[in-house]
Amino acid sequence: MLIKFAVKNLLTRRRRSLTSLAGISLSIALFVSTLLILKSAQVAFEKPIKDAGADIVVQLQGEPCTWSIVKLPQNLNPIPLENLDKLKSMDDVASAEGSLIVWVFSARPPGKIPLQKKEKNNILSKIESGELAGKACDYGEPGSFCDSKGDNQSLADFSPIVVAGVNPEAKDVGPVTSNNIQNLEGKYFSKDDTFNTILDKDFARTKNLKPGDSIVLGWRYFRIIGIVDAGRDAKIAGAQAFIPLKTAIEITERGNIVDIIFLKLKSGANLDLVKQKIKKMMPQNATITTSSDFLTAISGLSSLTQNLMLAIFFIAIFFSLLFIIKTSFSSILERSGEIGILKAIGWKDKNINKLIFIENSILGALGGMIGSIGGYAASFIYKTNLPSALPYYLNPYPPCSQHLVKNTLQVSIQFSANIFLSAILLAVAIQTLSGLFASKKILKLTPTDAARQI
Amino acid sequence: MLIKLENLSKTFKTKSKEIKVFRNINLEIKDREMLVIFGPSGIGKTTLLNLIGGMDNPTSGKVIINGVDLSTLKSDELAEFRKEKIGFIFQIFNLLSNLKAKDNIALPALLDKDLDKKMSEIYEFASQIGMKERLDHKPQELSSGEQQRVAILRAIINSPSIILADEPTADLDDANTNKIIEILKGLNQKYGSTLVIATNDERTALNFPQRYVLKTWS
Repeated sequence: MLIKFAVKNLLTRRRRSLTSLAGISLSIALFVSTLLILKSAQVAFEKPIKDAGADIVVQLQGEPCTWSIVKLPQNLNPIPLENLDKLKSMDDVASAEGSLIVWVFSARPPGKIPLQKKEKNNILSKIESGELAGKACDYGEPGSFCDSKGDNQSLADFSPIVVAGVNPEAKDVGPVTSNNIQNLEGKYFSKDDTFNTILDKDFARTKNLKPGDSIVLGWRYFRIIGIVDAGRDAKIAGAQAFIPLKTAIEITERGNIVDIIFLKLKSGANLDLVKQKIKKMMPQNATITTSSDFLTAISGLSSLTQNLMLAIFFIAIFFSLLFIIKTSFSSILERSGEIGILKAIGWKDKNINKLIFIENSILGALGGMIGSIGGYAASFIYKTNLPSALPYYLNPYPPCSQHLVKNTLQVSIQFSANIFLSAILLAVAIQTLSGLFASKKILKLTPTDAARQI
Repeated sequence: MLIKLENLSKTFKTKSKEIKVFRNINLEIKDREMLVIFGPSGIGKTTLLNLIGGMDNPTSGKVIINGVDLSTLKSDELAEFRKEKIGFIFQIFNLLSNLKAKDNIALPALLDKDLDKKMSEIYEFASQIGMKERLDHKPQELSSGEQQRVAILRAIINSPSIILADEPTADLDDANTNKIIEILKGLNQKYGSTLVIATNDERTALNFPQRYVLKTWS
């Protein structure tokens, strides 16, 4: 009966109920959207570094770009392999792998012999069988570009390809490894692979290539052994073609170098401390990105600004929750006359408290639900304003590239039952507690004093 | 039910001043008696009724109902006492504006198991006093006389042994005044309730045999 009466009270005091409901909903919407966006952004921003299995990424800032058929990205400098060995030998490092990201161009070298018509079929069958893997692309019509088919190609196919040299034996750390590669069509590298390549699925589809075909990378034929579907997420050192590291070193002709190092730390290692140690070991122009400052790297915001934003978020939440308390408190105080009448006609304090508890629980639960749904919707609006690309130095691609590497972070707002449930419970708890606190104040009065305020 | 007031005094204190309402009232109201407390406005009639109904605390003195000193009762015991023994008809009706008349009437017995039975008795009495058709209306849709009758119905839903009526005929025309007086007298006769009425209206006061004239402090 009390529940029925509480519902009737809420329905017949529509303006007061709606005001309370609006206050709770708005506050909870802010609370939910803030939590959802923080959670989703954290997941999205950490994904690239987690996907690479690393805690720290080390690079050297770049030098001016010079023309070469195989070259380092314009913002990266070579890191001698000795540095990788040094980092590997650090106490806190569990594993370390180097990759060599290069941009390769497929233009036919000048002065090479044009492909004769009678030789063409013979050459083509050799290309297709992979027999020419590792050989230089010396064939083609004058003015054409090297291509797996040996035919004249359009200018569009001249566009550079992003290639990542990876250690075929790497297990956990790196852009692709034997353990973390997923959705692979074909097979992964073996230890002694040289001119074999694994292509990104989108790139292979654009070029109409499949495992078993050949592709020219830096004037050399590579046999395609696998095609990987890396999904739509941005990757650190994401590439269109992956080749064994030693082959990448060979075709780059810059000595024993890598241009990005992935480090996985032992559990319990102090990330900041290791970062400091690496800074001392590496040249001054080293860029060291850790998982903890990844957000800074992506958003371009300093940690101070991030902290400030977080503080503003939490202050906003604090005041919005205060608003619920204030609304609930005022709403009960306004009813002191009504409570006085109930006391006067024989209602016990505990029954009045029960009534207020039920009313405020209903309001809190409804407001919590509406606010949660509103917050979920609002977080989609917030999402559009989030930084959504990896910083260029973590995933460089040529400005003239026809086939862009995936550089967009997929921030997806995930439904979180925990957040929804917490929000509803919070709304109910705050609403009922502040209501009961206010009623306690009124119930101390005699019925006459309380009713006098009607 | 015997009501005894012993040396009853009431003073209201504000921050700046003290308002002395009445002092040392000694009064005995017998079971089933009908008593009018008569006096001009502001003399303390409402305050006296509130004290008898256990809705306010005296500054000094005692209110004893059937041998029980109300000051010894705890808050919940007092609430139970008000619910079971007292039917209070407020001067300004004190009806909840968001509820229909019938819901206002049901309020004192809302949590009782026999609410339906009590309400069917109320409907019967409501039809006797010409209110049955008006019970689905909210207070603001009723005239003053009708609101007063709703307040009376609410006061009697628990069949109280004491009915306290504060200016029950204030602002009512002659026809309505007579109707209300008739109803109150009927309650005393039908249910055997002790009736205490506070009024400043001489015509109303003269309708009842026992009168207690409340005088000023001085």
